[in-house]
Amino acid sequence: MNAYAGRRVSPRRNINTSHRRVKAKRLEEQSALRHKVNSLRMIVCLSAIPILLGVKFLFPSAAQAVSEQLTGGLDYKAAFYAIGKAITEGENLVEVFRGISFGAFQKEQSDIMDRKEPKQEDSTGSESGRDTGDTRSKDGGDDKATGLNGSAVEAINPVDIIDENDLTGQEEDDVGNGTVSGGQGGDIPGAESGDKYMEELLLRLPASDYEDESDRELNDIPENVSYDYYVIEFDYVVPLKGKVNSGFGYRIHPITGKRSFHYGVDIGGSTGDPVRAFSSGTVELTGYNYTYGNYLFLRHKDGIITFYGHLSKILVEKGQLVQMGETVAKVGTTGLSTGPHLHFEIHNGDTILDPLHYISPEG
Amino acid sequence: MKASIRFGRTEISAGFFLVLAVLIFLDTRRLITLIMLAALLHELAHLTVIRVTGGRVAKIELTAVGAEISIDSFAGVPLFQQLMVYLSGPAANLLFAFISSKFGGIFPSQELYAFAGANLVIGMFNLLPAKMLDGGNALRVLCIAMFGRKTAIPEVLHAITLAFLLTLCILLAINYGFSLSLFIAIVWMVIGYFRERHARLKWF
Repeated sequence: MNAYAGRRVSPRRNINTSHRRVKAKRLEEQSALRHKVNSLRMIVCLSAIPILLGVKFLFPSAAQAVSEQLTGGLDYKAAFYAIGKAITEGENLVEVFRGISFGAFQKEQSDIMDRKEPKQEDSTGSESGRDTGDTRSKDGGDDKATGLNGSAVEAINPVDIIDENDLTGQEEDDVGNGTVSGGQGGDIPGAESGDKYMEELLLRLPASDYEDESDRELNDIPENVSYDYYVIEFDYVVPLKGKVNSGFGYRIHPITGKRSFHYGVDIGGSTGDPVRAFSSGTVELTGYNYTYGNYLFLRHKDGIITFYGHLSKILVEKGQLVQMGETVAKVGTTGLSTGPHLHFEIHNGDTILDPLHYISPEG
Repeated sequence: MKASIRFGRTEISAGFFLVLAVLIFLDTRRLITLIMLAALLHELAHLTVIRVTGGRVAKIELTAVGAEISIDSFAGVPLFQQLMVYLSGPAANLLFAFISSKFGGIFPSQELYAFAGANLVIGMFNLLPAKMLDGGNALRVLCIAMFGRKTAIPEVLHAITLAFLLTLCILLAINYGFSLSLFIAIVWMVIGYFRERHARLKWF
């Protein structure tokens, strides 16, 4: 303020100019500083690219872990793939989006499961459901009676739920439209507990619950899976004849690119080929799921359930009785699939069996 | 003044490189290439239509939140052409989504389907009626033409869109756990709310 006043009254120009010079110099310094800061910011941001790329190549597993942590484990590429495919395959985009948000949920569920110890539980329901065969698989015993993928199933014995549902399911006809969504079963009004179990079942499919491969032995298999031969004591047929593209066991998933357990067998075919019922039984559940597309569960005798995925068309309705060999659906490529094929699974209660023990699609 | 590099009329900010670095780091399956390609197609469609309708591009900015194309002046440009300029980007994405998905059916390929998906998502997202997006800009010129300059419709729709997206993000975070992608989406929207400049093609 003094300097300003001095300038007004002072006749001496030299003070005035020196002051102006100081001011200009200060401005110059400021701008130089700002320029330096900006250059530094630019250098930092530009060098972030080679630095982060270097980290990624030097420590791929750590980078992968960080990436998965930060993105919530959601596989964006698979999500975009499903959306892109839905455009021309005529799949329901809303269901696809639900499936995608559900994919993030799936990760959460498997995390919960990893933290829990397998529960020792002997329930009469599970005994009656699965003890009918003589050579019961030793792995599929009661120590594996926990839910397939999370706390919801763990609370109640899944086999109990299905048995109960079988009795009531015949009378109720409310979900006959075949649009029961795989996924957020709890949100669907009127969803029955048995459906919920089936949907929970879909949750883990094809979840790579075993992403930390380094920690596990190569022959370590998911809890609910058995390689053992369990005798099925009724007649059955091959649901679809064709080339086996992918068998039961660990494989690199063609879309997610991750090593994960394949719970069934992929039989190649053409869209529209008839899919036959493995054996006589009832339609347990039909629906659409983001991973499995149009899917179908059939319930046979002795607690055996068969699962059919990626169908282009489902020809039966929930609760309907089907005969062995009856055409129940058509081959398709809905869901996360790269071409028309049938994904087929055989379940004994809550244990998943190797379908190639029973059927030879290539024969 | 922000830190940026200029190439002719194109200005790339430091933030752009930083975001690019993070995205490249997080992308484990080369999805970023497909998204960048879809975004490039989007911008090229805008630039082509601007050129065809006789407009002049003043500046192209690539920033941390996307791309912005500034046009010298929109004054005197017919309404239809303005709409064309704004909608060309999303239209190109939707077109490529369809084409790519069709080809994906003929030559089964993961990349083609993923590219179709990326295009569809970018195209649809840009059509949302928020000010910083093409949909909001198109809506604004349309509303001004119909109801005059003082219309509040674009503002209201902008607020509704952002509120909707924010609620969706929060609900997703509550239900499925918090993730970085949701955090980025929220930050992006908050920035979008405070960063309003008209007569520009903004972000993506």
